[in-house]
Amino acid sequence: MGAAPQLSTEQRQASQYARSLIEASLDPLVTISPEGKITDVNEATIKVTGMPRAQLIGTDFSNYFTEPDKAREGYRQVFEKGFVTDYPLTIRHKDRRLVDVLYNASVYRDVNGNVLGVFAAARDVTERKRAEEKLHKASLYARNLLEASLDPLVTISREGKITDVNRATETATGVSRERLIGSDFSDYFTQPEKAQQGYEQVFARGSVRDYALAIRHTSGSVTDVLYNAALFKTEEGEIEGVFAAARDVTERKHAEEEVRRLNDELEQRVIQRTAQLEAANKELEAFTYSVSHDLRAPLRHISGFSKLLTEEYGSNLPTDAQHHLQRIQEGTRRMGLLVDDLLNLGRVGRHEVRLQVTGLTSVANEAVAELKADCEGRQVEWKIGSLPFVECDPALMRQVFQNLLSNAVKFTRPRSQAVIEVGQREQEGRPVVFVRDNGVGFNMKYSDKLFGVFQRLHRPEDFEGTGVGLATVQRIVQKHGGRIWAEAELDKGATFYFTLGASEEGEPKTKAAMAGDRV
Amino acid sequence: MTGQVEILLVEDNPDDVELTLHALRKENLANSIQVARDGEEALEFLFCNGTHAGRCFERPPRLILLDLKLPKVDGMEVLKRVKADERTKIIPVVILTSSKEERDLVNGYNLGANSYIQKPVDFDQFRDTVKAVGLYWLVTNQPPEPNGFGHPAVQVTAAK
Repeated sequence: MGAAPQLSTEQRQASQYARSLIEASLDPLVTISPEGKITDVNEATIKVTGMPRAQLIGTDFSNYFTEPDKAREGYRQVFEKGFVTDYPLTIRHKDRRLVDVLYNASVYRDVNGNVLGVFAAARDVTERKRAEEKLHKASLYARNLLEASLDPLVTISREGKITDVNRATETATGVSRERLIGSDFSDYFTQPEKAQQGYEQVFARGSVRDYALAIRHTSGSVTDVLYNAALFKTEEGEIEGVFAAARDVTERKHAEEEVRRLNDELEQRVIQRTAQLEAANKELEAFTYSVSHDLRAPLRHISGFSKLLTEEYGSNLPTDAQHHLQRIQEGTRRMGLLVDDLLNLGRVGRHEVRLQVTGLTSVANEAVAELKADCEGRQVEWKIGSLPFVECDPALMRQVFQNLLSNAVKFTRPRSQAVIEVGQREQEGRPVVFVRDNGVGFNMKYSDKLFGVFQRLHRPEDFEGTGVGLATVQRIVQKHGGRIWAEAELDKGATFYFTLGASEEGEPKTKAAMAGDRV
Repeated sequence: MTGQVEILLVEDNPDDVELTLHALRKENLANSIQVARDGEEALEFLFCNGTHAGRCFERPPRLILLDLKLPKVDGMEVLKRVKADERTKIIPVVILTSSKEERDLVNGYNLGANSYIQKPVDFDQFRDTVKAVGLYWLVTNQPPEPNGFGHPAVQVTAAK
């Protein structure tokens, strides 16, 4: 091989090019003499063995494999057949790292056909082997998952035959895996036609969700299930069949039935309680009515006889006795008012609201007209603004204005110039009606007592009253599904606001009416 | 009772009886008042049977003041019987009661009551009311002639 000086420039270049290619290869390449000694290596071989080129050349090639005999056997085969393909071996790196390779090798000859040695190329298959192992493991893992699933899982061929099942399917059907596979999937349902339809839907739509079926066990017991199924395809996109997962909903169904049953029971109980409550309310109203009704008779008698006593013997009685008689008279008169107001409150409570579109301006004006007689000799300025038309019971609304306005008249009595105003303003898109006066007002810290029955914020010597008027107003407003509140300042005046119609307090005739029945 | 009974007062409560009588007497409105303490007694008086079997049917009261809550036979029943009978139905019946119940009002008028008055608690008002009722029915109101009373056919037969 000492002819190098005779090589032409092109030849040298070609040889260098070939050498570069060899060195650039990622596959370990090696040439071996007929005696089995390494004659040449490339960079990849140096890398895979961890040995320098100089130490490799001239050594026995089989030294670098985990199985030298197998390596030699491969080498022998090359001479025998002229080549080997994908001959598996494992190269041992100097630091003991192992690399799985597949060898492709062939003999190479001189121009005269004499065998000069073996040319061997190794392909590193560590990664591939690792990937294969991984795949195998993944598949095993997937299988375990399938088997571990409590949901019966099944794959069905395009012909409708079961191709695979998991343990849960065996449990649900009571049929062994061997007998299930190959049989018609619809055989195991209480409604085979419906099962068949579901199967067809999967093909039509690609999948079905929560398809209700019932699996029949060989013992006769039935499991309610919801099926989720989808087509499964090969990597190439060819439909192989259907994968179907069933979810046992027997428990859920029972739970649902239980919930339904409990709901029915609850509803029944609510109906009963409501009826009881209504009955109790009626009873209470009847009681209120009859108490106030029956109180009237003895009151009348006390009033009558004390009056007769005054009239017939008054002049003969000492001044003290006359005074006592007067107090009796006054007491009965006041109690008479109380009883009448209570009766009225009870009547309002029982009164069925008859809704009618009503202009509140005329209702307010009627109430004002009635009150004018009480204002004789007083300076009262009435400011009646324009009020809305609303759906209400006109008779009850008249009472609302009567009570609110008579309060205004009463509590402005100390004023030399009383101003009583009725108007409306908008609040959250709904009309709010107000009644305002410049009277004595009250302290807002007592505002919660304002609408309670018999609650009074003034001394009877200053302002007469029974403490039922505002309670009655509130009940009427509530019966209309509205709300009433007040703003006031001591000695400055008071304003009462109310809304009517559906509000957050509920329906006019149900909740509100009950809420109002407190007497 | 000697003279003509002007008013039949049907009232179970003795206090109410006394106060009503007082009011009526004081105004000199009633020369003769008959008191019935329950519904049964009222009916016996009006139809001349039972304890009033000896009474002459030809002399009916000119006004009935009727309470509603009564022992034995209640006021509504008395009203019904009075207005159902040809011989008594023209007698004015004024319901004088503590009740202001809508149901009682409607029932009363439906059964033919001529007036419905709730007894005021205040005695002055009570007296004024009773006085007004008496004045109206015994003085202002024009009743048919006494001999026109009762069933005409019966009347004719009796005259012959």
